[in-house]
Amino acid sequence: MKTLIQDVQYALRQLRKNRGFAVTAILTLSLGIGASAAIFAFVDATLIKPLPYKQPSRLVVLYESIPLGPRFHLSYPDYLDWKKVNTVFRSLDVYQNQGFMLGTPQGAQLADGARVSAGFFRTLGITPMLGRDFREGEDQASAQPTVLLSYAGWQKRYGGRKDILGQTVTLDGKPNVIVGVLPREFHFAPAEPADFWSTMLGTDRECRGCHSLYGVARLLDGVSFSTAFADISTIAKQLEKQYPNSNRNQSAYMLPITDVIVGDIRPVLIVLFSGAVLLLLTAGVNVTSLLLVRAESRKREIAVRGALGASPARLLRQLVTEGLVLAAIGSSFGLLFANFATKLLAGLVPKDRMASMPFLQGVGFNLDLLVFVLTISAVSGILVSLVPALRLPYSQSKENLEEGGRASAGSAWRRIGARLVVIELATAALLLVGAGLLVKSLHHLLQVDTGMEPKHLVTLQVAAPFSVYSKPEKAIPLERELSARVATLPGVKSVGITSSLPLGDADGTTQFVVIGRPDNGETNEVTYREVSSTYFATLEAKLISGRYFAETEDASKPPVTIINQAFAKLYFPGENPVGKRINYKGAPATSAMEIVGLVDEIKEGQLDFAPRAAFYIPFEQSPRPNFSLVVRATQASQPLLHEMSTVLHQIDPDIATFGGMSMIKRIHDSPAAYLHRSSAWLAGGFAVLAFLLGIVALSGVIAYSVSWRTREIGIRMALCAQRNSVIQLILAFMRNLLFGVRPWDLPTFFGVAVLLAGCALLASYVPARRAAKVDPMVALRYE
Amino acid sequence: MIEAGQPLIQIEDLTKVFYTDEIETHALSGVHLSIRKGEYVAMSGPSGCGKSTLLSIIGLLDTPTAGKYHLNGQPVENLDFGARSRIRNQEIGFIFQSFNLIGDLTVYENVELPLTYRQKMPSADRKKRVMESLERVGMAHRVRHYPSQLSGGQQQRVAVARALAGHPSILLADEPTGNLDSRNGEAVMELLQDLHRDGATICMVTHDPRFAKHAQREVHLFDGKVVAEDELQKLMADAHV
Repeated sequence: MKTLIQDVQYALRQLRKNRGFAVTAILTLSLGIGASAAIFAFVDATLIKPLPYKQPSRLVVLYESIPLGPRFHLSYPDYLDWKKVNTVFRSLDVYQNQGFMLGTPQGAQLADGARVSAGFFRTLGITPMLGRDFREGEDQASAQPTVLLSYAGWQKRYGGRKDILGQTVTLDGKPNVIVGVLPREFHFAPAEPADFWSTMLGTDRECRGCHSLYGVARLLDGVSFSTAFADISTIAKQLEKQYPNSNRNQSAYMLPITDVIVGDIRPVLIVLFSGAVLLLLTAGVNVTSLLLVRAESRKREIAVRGALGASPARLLRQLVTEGLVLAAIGSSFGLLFANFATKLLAGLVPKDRMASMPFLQGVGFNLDLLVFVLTISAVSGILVSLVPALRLPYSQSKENLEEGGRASAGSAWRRIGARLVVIELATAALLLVGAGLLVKSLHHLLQVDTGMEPKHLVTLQVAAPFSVYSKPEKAIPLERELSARVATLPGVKSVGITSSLPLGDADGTTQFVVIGRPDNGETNEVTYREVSSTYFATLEAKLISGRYFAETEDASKPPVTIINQAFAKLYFPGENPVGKRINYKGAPATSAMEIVGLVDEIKEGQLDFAPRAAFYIPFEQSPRPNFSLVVRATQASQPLLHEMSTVLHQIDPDIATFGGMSMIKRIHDSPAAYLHRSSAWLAGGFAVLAFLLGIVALSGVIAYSVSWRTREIGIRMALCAQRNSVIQLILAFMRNLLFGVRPWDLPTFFGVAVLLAGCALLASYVPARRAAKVDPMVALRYE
Repeated sequence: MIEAGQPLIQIEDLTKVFYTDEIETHALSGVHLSIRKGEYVAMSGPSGCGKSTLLSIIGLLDTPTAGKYHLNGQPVENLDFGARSRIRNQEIGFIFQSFNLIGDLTVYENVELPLTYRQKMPSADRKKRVMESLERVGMAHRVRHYPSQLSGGQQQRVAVARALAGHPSILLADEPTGNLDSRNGEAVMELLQDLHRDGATICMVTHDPRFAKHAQREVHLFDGKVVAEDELQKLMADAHV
C-alpha cells in the first residue's frame, strides 16, 4: 500500500513538475470524459432507465392507419371492437392527450391533462400512491367523472395535501371527484404534461369515423409482438368490411411503448453518444500520444529503475498508476464539465418540449453517471498508460541507461504526433463545416416562404368554456366582440381569427368530395381551417384569384370556401377552381361549399413540410369556442399580448388564454426550426470540442517536440542562431500541416480553414517562443 | 553465505555475441574471472574492449551468449528477467558514470528507491538504511534536495548511497568518475576505498590508470578477452592504440 501511495505521490509530483503536459493532458481528458458523461446522462435517463411501468416490454401502443399516415387515432367504436374481439391482449385501454378548462375562483384556466379509459393505469401496471385507481365503468358517459392527480399536479396545485381525496375539481365545466394521486416516478410522455388524469373521454362514442383516441395494451403472456400485430390487423380488416363507409382503407398499427416514448429521441441520442465516444477516443488518443512522447523521455528513468531491481510488472504498475491519477484528475474536471454541459443541453430544450419528455426531468448527476465516469476514467487511465508503457524498454541496456533512446523519440513523434494532429484537425474542420452547413440550413429554413408576413404579427390562443360557447349564437358574438375590442387597442392594425394557427402539427383534416365528380370511394383528406373574413388580410396572405370571405358570410349565407394552391394543383389541375363546389364526405347537399378564392399556401404544417392541400371556411359559418387570434400590430408583442388577455377577461373571466407569442417566435420555436437549431448547436458544440482537442493536441505535441529538441536548440543557440530562426524551425512543422489543408472555394470551408490556421499557428507559436528562450547552458547540461 | 576471501563471482568461459543484421560482433570471448568477497577489482582496457559488456553481465543487466556465471555460489546465467531483477535488487549495487539519479525524486527518495522494490520491507527499516547510507557518504544533510540542486560530485555520492542502501554483495561501478572533475573524482575514489576498507566488494570499470591503481587488483581486457598487463601493453602497442 505504501508503495502505491508513493507511486501516486510520484505521479502527482511529475504532473506538478511538467505543468504543460499536465494541463494539456488533464484538459484533454476532461473534455473527452465530460462530453461523454454529459451525453450519457441523457442516454441513461432515456434509454437505460426502464420506463416506470410493470414489465414495459409487454406494453404496446395501438393506432389506426389511414392513407394520410400510419399512426392515427382510433375511434371509440373501433376501440371497443378491438378490445372485445382480440385474443392477444390481457387488457386494452385508451388515452387522449387533451387538456381541460379548469374552474378556479379567479376564472377558467387551461390545465394540462389527459383523458383515459378506466383500466388505463391497470394496463400500465401503475397503482396510485394515494387513494385509488379508476373503477370499471367510471369512464362511461353516464358515470360521475373521476380524476387522478399527477404527483407534480398534486404538489403544485394542492400543496401535497392528503385531504384532497373525495374533493371535486371542475374540469370543462363538470365536477370531477379526485380519487387518487399517481406515484411520483410515474410519467407517460405521449400525454405529458398532465396534472389531471380524468375518465372524461372527450369523443363521440357513436361515431366510427371520429378518431381521437390512442390505444395502450398489455400483451398476454406468451404472445409475441408479431402475433398480436397480426391479430389486430385481422380485426381491422374485418371492421373495414363491416363498416366500409367509415373504415375504408384503414388498418391497424402497433408499436412497442418504448418506441413511442423514446423512439424519436433514440437515434438522436445514439448519434450524439457515438459522437461523444469518438471525442473520448480522440481525447484518449491525444493523451496516449502525449504519454508516448513523454515515455521516450523516460526511457532512461525506467532503465534505471529496472537496473535497481524493479520488475516489469512493478514498472507497469507504476506507469498505470500514473495514468489512473491523470484520468482521475481529468474525470473530476470532466464531471464538472459534464454538469455544466448537461444543464446547457437541457436548457436548449424548450420548456414545452421538455414537458413532453418527462424522462429527462432531473437529468444530471446520479449514481449511474458516477459509475459511468469511474468506468471510462479507469479504462481511459489504463489504456492511455498501457500503450506507452508497453513500448518502454524493460531491458536495462547500456544505451537506455546512458542516452534514454533519444534518437527514436523524433521518429515516434513524426509517426504518431503529426498524423494524429492532422487527423484531429481534419475531423474538427469537417465538424465545423458540418455545423456551418447546419447553421446555413437553419437560416434557409427560417427564410422559407410561410405564405404570410410574420413581422409584427402577434398570436394568442383562446379557449372559451365549451358549455357556454359551443352554440353559434354565443360563439359568433364572442368572436365579433373580441375582434372589435382588440382592433381598438393601440398599435393594432387588423385582427384575424382562425381555428388553428399556422405552423402547427397540421392536424384538423377532413374528407371531401368534388361536386359533379363521381365518388369512387377514394379518400380525399385535406387540412381545413375556420377563419374570419379578415384572417388572410391580417396575415397578408397572397390572393391568387377570386376573393376573401365577406364579413357578412355567416350561417345564413350559402357555404363558401377558399382553397390553397396545393389543393388546386392536386384536385383542379389546369382548371380554374373558383366557382367550383366541394362538400364534406357524407354530408348533405346543403352543406356543399362554393370555392370563392384561391390563396397561396400558408404553412399549416411544419416549416420543412411540403405544402399541403387545405381549404378554409368562414368562421361564422362554423363557429367554435376554441380559436386563435392573429393580430397585425405596429408595436412590440409583449405589452399587446397582456392587453389582449385583459380584453378577453373583461368579456368573460372564464375564457382562458394561452400560447401568446409573436409569429416570428412561433416560427423560431416551431419543431422543425428547433430540430435544425438543436442540430446546429450540437454539431457546433462537438465541432468546438473536437477543435479544442485538436488544438490542445497540436499545442501539446509541438511543445513536446520542442522539449525533445531542446538539446538541438541549445546547440543552435550556442552556435549563435537568432531566436527568429529557432521559431521558424518550429513553425516549419506547422506550415507543412497548414499547406496540407486543401483550399476550399466555399465560404464556409474557407472560414473554417482560416480559423484553423490562426489557432494552429497560435498553438505552435507559444512553444516556439519558449523554445527560442532556451538557455544553451541549461539545454546542454547533462542531468 | 560466502565467507570473506571466497569467490563471490565466478565466471568461466563467458562469451557474448551481438548480432546486428548479418554481422556477428564478439564482445566477449572466453572470459574467465573470479572476484572474491571483499575484493576491490578494477577492469580496464581500451574503448570497445568489452569491459562495460562484462560489467553488464556481472550486474545481470545482460545475459551471456555462452559460459557459466555463479554469483554467491548460484548459477545465474540462465535466469529469467524477473529473477534477474530480484537478484539485482538484493545482491548488486550500481554506480553509473552519469549518476542516473531520478530528477523528480529527492535525495532521500532516490536512495530509498531500490528498497521500495523489495517485498515486505518495513518502512522503518528502509528509513534506517537510507539514513545510514547517506551518512556514510556525507549527504545526510541533503535529504530533501533534488538532484538538480546538487553538484556532480554530490550527485555521485548520492548514487553511491543508493547503491549501498540495499546492502548488496557487490558494488559495480561503471566509470564512476567519468563525469566528474579531478577533485570530485578523487573524492569518489576515496569514498570507494573507504567502503572497501569496511569490507565492501567492488568491481569498477575505468579507463583511467590513475583510478585503476586504487583497486586491489586490475583486470585487463582486450578484444573481449582477459589479458595480463604486460600482454595488454604489447597488444596495444601492436594495435597502435
